[in-house]
Amino acid sequence: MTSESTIHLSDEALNDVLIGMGSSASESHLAACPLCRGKVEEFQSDLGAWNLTTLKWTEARAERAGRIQARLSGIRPARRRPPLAALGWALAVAALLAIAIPVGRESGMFGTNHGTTVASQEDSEAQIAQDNELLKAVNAAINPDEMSPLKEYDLFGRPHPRHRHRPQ
Amino acid sequence: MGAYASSEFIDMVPRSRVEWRCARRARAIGELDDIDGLVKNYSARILRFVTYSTGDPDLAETITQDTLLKAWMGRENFRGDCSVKTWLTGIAINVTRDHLRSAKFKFWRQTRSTALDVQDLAAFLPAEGSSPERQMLAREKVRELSQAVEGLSPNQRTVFLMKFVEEMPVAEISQVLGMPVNTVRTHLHRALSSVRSRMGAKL
Repeated sequence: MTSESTIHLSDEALNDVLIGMGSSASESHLAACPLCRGKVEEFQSDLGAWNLTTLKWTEARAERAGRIQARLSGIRPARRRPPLAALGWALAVAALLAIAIPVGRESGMFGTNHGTTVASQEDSEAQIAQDNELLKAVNAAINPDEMSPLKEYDLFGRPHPRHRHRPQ
Repeated sequence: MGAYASSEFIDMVPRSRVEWRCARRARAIGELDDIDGLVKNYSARILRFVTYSTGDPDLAETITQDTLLKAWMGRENFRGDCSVKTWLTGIAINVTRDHLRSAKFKFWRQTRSTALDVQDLAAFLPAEGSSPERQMLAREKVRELSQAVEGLSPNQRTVFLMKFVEEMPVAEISQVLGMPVNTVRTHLHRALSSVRSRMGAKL
């Protein structure tokens, strides 16, 4: 780099000018040299057009899709919601419960707690049996060729040695 | 050398500067509190930054959403020592890094093309009453610049976008990225050399 107008700015000096870290010598050279100034202005102009275009493109994309707005629109500080709206909801729920509970009792809609417990117990036993079946199937699938030790030594159906000749 | 207690340190800073910072922080938190305003004012800028950082417009939308959500949820952590835009850019960089590191992203990058559609982009170039020839030339330059930016290494691209798109000073880029100023400068030099050479060495 030099400040003489006959020798133009080096690439490094030009880069420094473009990133806003140009030396005073570079700045004074630019003031005097239309060629180097033209290079800087052309780059800045291209960059400006690119920035404008890309910003318009992303604005259009964000607007067209409306995804960002839609996804974030559900997230708002709770305190920004008018307090009367929350109170209204609470009153509506209370009124609904006040009507629904007596009606439900009269019509026998709500069963006893005992019945519910038995049903859930039965469900859970059925579920346990089903889970056991599933585990057996998984075991069989994992080791299909492995023989059970009971089968291998033919222990099925044999009486236990201690029980063979038990005196009557 | 003894460390200053925090109150002593604050006393050393001119009162007006502290007040100015507090006022800026309060203003910024007020701005960050309004999530609709945040989306309206910053989503397009963040989307552009992330789109060029990742090269994937769809992923960029997700990252932009995550960035704004993270900023809004952590708005109390904003210290007020930089602008909201700079703070959001810093968050966007971290969120982008997290996404790029994830195995899910690596998988999708292998299975689908993520390149930006530069023809689609060029359609947004403002005409401003110029001749068809000039418009064509301008479109060509936008296309070349887009491709040049996409061709940069991740570090070069990040500093290039922060400097020339987000218009952040080098010192601020250094602060946000946790990189020494000279390293930022070196990345910028390399990025500029690469962009200029890809644009036909007109500069």
